[in-house]
Amino acid sequence: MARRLLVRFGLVVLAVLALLAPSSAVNAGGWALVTLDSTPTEVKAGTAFDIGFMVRQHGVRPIDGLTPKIEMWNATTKERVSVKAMAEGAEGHYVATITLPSSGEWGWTIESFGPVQTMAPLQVGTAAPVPAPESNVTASAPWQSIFGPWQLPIIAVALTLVAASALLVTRKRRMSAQA
Amino acid sequence: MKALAWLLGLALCTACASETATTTASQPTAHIALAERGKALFRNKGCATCHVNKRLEGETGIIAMGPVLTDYTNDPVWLRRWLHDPQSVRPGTQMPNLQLAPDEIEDLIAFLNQTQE
Repeated sequence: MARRLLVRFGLVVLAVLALLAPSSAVNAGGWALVTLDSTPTEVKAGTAFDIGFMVRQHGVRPIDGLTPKIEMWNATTKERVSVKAMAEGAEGHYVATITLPSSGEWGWTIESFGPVQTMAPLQVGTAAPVPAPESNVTASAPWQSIFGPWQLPIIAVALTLVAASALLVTRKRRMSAQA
Repeated sequence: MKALAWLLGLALCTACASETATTTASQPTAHIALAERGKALFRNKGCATCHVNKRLEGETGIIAMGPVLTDYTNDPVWLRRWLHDPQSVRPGTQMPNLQLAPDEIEDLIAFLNQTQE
């Protein structure tokens, strides 16, 4: 009887310990840090772009042989894109090529080893417009189609000098007239 | 005198136009403040995994191995050395070397030291 009670008590204690003990792989050291090569910029809807990143265990040791997954979503349009990254280049380095279907803000995560890592929201611009057939004008100012960037300051200086000279001549004439 | 006034006015307008044209021509298509870039880097370089920082939207510090950085600021000179090579500043630290580029370090410093309103 006493033995049965002891066994039952022991089982209960073991069960409680099992519940309290850390079950997450994170606590067992199974986590890695994802660091992007660079923050994606100038991303346009419908245009493919690459995302490169390193996966390092505890932020230190590069981990090879993974198949990281990138999940992206547009909260406005409810669209979702999922892409697997492939190993490329240095040990622990991966690259994924992504095309997002619409513009706006896209949230995204990278799941590689351990906890999913949330990245900074991506601002995606509208699809790149078809380039105009001609015109090399890069600025919106209309006078730039006539004058170059350095001609306008020179003209301004020249006009100022002409105005100053005319003023001096006028003053001299007045002074000589008064004299 | 009227003619002089017109000439001076024309010279002034031309000077303004040239400055506007130059500014328009050199303006980048996308301008992001240093601190905003630093905020993005805080996530994209993995800082948000180990450090809680409530200045960011969403969850941070899933691993929470490092100090909370919500209200953290520090001397930029020290931060520059720390972010470049943590082991050289504090040997044995768990802070990894994230191989940050100099401009990335400046962006992160701008974000960390940004005055909170």
